[in-house]
Amino acid sequence: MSTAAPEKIFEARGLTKRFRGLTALSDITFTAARGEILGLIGPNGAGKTTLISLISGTLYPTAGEITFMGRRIEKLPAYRRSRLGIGRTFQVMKPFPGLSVLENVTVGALFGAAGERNRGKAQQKARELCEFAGLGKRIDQRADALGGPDRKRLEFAKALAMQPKLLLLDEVMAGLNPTEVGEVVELIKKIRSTGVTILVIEHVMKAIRSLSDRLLVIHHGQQIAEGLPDQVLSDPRVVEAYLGKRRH
Amino acid sequence: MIKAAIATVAVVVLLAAVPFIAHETVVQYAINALLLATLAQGWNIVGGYAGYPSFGNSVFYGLGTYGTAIAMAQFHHSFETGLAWAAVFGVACALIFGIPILRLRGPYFAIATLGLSAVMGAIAANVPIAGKNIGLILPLFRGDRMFYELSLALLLFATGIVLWVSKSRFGAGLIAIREDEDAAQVMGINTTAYKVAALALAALVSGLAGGIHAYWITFIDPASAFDGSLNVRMVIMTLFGGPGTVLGPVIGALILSGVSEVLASQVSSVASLFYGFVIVLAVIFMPRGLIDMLAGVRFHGLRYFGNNMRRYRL
Amino acid sequence: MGLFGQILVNGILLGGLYGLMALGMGLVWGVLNIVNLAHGALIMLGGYAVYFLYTGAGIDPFAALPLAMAALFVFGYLLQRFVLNLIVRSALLNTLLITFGLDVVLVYLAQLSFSADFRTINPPYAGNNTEIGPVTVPHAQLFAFLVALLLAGLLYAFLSRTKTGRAIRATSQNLTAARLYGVNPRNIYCLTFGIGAALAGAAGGLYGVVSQITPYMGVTLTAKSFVIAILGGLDKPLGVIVGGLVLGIAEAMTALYLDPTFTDIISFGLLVVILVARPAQLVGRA
Repeated sequence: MSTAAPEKIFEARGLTKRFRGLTALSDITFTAARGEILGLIGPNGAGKTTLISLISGTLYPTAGEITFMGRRIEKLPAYRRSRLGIGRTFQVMKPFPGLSVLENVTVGALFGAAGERNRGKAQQKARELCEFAGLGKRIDQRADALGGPDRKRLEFAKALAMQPKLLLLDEVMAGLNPTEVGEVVELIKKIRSTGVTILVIEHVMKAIRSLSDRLLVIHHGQQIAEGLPDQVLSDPRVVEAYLGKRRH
Repeated sequence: MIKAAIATVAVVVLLAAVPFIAHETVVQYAINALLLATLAQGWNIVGGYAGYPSFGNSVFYGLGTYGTAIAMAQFHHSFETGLAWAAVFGVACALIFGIPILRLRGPYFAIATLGLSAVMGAIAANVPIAGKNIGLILPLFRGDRMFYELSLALLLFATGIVLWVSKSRFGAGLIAIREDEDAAQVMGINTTAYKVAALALAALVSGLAGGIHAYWITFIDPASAFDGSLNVRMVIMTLFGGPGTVLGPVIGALILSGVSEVLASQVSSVASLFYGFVIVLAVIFMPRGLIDMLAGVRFHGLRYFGNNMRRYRL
Repeated sequence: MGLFGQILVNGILLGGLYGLMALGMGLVWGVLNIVNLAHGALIMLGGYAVYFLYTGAGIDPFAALPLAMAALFVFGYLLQRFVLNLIVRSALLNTLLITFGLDVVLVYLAQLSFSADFRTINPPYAGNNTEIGPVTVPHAQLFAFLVALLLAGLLYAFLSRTKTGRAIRATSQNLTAARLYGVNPRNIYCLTFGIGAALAGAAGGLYGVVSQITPYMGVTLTAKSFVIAILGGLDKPLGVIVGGLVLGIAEAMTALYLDPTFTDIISFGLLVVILVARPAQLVGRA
């Protein structure tokens, strides 16, 4: 552990989102430091994806502030935040269906924080990333012809191509077998070692426990616990929220 | 690469030579076809690449027509100035109305553009400086050759823009918008700016086409300037030839207008029957256009048709 | 005040007919995701059907309506079955295109068969009026209006009360789920298009009584049906009738207070403004 406290690059304060009478999130407050992996857990429907959407700009908060790299971003449109360095994957995969895998990832390399202007160079970077993400063999296939696990790899590759400083991962391990889960965990650690901050939503408990520096627990839209994994997971409120659910 | 470049230059030189070797009526037909092909290329940028199917690009053509006509007939400017006005009128319309209208998706966008064209046509019919319903008469210039070469140059320009779009970062952004606009936004593409820019490019070439046409036929009025049938023709030609490709609209325009000219000289109104059948058959058998079909058949043989029909039918 | 009232009544009566015109287009659009640019041609064919039943067989136009509707239902059913079903899952733009092609063919064939002459359907009671206060209500227009309301009501009842109607609504919401419940999509699709065509045919027959028919009448009517269908929420019959009334009244008022040449601007202008001002409601549909 370094002696200097890692720089805080992200802060959410009092984040609240209401949809026509339904309060999806209320008063979420937390910070994230450079190179930190923050796990976001909670029962289904708790509001985790909503939180990710508020950070990425797909949704705007009803109240609250978001500060990223020293800038207030809660009013910025999604594409601006992406250029500042926020990347996300979608739970329901959103590839560009008619384009090939390579073309999909190339878009990420062209835009986002990376902003590579030259299409040829961007394609080269995309090629490397596809290999990195294990999509080498499928590079010229249409994205809508991919199977489940490959679609996940594509989401990863696209997000990475944007060279984000904050990466938001929404259940990237769902549907993977234990070996694949292990691979993804290693991949995420590798990405973190390059200085990327990662916010991970995950249900696979073993993975998220080993991966996260800190955990944030959301239940019914409210923040019920935050801190080191062991502390959080033995917190009685967290246990109660998960009561009746299988713990891996 | 070299082969393609040589072939391209050869074709262009050949096309440029047409007015010197062909009959007068052929040249006139060719001018119309070239202008239509330009309109198709303009549509291709917004409809083919960005995926926003406009049914009202005739509004830019019409504004271009009136821009040149007003500049030359009312203010006695030169043709060059007239063309500049045409471009300005067209692009200004795209910038002003583009932002609100491009917020709509799919058929709603299509209908809004249709509405825009109808409204502009009606405004032109009621504004004194535009000659109201009577229209305007431009100074006469005899010289189909000049108009032919100019139309050819415009088509080359428009095709050049599409070529650039197909290879540039801007074009990749448009394609991303077409494939999944929400994902495109999250990936850092300023979708509003990109869409408006695409529309402005379409407006530029469409407006210039209108300007050239105005000076060529000398007399313009609202009905012919904002001719609604142009919209359908440019869309069909692009879809027939291949949306989202560089040469598709040109090929589609040349083939379809060529055949309909031939038919028109034989049996006059059958041309429209022909159009109708071609469209129906084309949508069923080559839903992604001619170029895609040629490439697909070369790659997969006749299975291309079977695959398509299986994919798109109930 | 008398003139205003008269124009208002004219607008309402016409608006009801407009609403009927748009019912079929909205239904097909909402359920099948097909934007039918040949809708106007179907209206036109309905008009000619009633015309020939009246002038050829002497059947009263209003009595001929069911016959014309049946004929158009069959035509629409077959069209969907053998042509449109082939491309139904294609991009929406392709449905626009293919129906456009069909429209061109139908109009050409109609012009070939019926010539371009204007025709009216003139039953003996066509000239009769009733005076209600300062307002003159022509019988033909009034009957047409009532029939339009009746058909809209029947469609609404059909969609909400009958098993088939509910199957149609289920298909429009979610084809996959509907399939799981045993709905046969092919039948439903053909049935829906057939109903849409039948409604268009009825509108055409009525239009022939209150106005004129030519092979080219469909073009503007398709455009108006667009506007009305969108205003009314596509496959919501009552909303579409209201949309028709709105357009009918707007047109009548425009013709009175501004200029008849402005009516097109008004319909399209209204449409564009509504589309742009409230996109959230409609973006989801696309």
